[in-house]
Amino acid sequence: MADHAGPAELGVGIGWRPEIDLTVERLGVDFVEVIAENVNPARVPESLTVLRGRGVPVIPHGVGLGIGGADRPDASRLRHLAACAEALGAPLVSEHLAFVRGGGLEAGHLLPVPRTREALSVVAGNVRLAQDALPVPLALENVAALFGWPEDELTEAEFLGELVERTGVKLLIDVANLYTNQVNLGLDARDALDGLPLAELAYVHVAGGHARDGVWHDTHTASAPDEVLDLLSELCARARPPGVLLEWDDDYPSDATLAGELDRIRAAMSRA
Amino acid sequence: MPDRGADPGARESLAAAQADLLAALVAGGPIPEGFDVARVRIQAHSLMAKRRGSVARVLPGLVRALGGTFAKEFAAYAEGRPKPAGGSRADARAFLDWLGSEGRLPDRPAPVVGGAGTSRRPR
Repeated sequence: MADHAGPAELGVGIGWRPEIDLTVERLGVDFVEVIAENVNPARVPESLTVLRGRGVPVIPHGVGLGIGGADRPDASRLRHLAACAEALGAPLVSEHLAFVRGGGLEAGHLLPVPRTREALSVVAGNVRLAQDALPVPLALENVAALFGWPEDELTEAEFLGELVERTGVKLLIDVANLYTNQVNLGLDARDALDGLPLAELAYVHVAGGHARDGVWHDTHTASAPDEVLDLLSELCARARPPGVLLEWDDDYPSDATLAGELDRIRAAMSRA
Repeated sequence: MPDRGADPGARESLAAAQADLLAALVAGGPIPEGFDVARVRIQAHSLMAKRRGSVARVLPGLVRALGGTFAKEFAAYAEGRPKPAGGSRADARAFLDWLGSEGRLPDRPAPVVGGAGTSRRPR
């Protein structure tokens, strides 16, 4: 359940991926995240064991729970997240405020939840069920959206704030997703930072993407634009995040480029 | 376990709204009223591109064998055919089956690449 002991100190990290396992070991990061659906708790990848041996926290990051869906969270998916947390000695588990399936169809991606009071009551119930099933605190991430729901009545900050208040869930704030929603939907990212309960911050995500026809696609395959790092500075000016993590998926660059990206993150944090 | 506060009708109406939108995004259904049609189309294209990319990653040999026609063939396969349960490897197998039934499977069979977690660490 809700942890009032204060968030664990994490530092600056990177998303661990099997394709860059040796790179991640060389980068000397303070913590890593691993996609929970890609982990077999009975056979933790050797690289993660190496990192854990150095005292590097490993956070299971789920992408398939769909806690913002209409159905109660799937018991076997929750058992898997719990088993990952145990196997990795994780200080917390993170997932997304999103729905990923419904009506027998899989989206294959994280889709935004309608931000209505009615949906809020459903999602809060789902969050409590997930918390009950997990041995460590749960943090939820704001997602990048390409569209909004016509019935939206709360801002994303209000919706997440209400969820925090009702459930004690922690926040994983993705500043690249805030930027995406600003570009694509005109939602002011600084207003969002002002409205979010940043005292409940578990950590922060940073990532790059690509603009195509005026739409920002949060691809995690490029350098974070300065605008995203400026948002990180803005966030740090409001609350010191316990951790900041770079997400990079696919089209992996050189070790030196990734090290440089981590340095840009550290610089943005110290500009606050 | 009880919902502890969720209105029992809330789940049903959320389920219907999300199912209608998903049908529009991945199964060729009509776009529900009130949505920005252009934005929903962009989302649908983005989901398709992600799905195609995931299949390409487990079928690198097929992508090479099909050359420039992979994207076009995948679009024809996926049109109104939602991603099957079982993830991208199941999607890849269904795509291979479909290519075979259309008589357009390249000569050299393309094995589906195995699960995640392959490491570059020397053994």
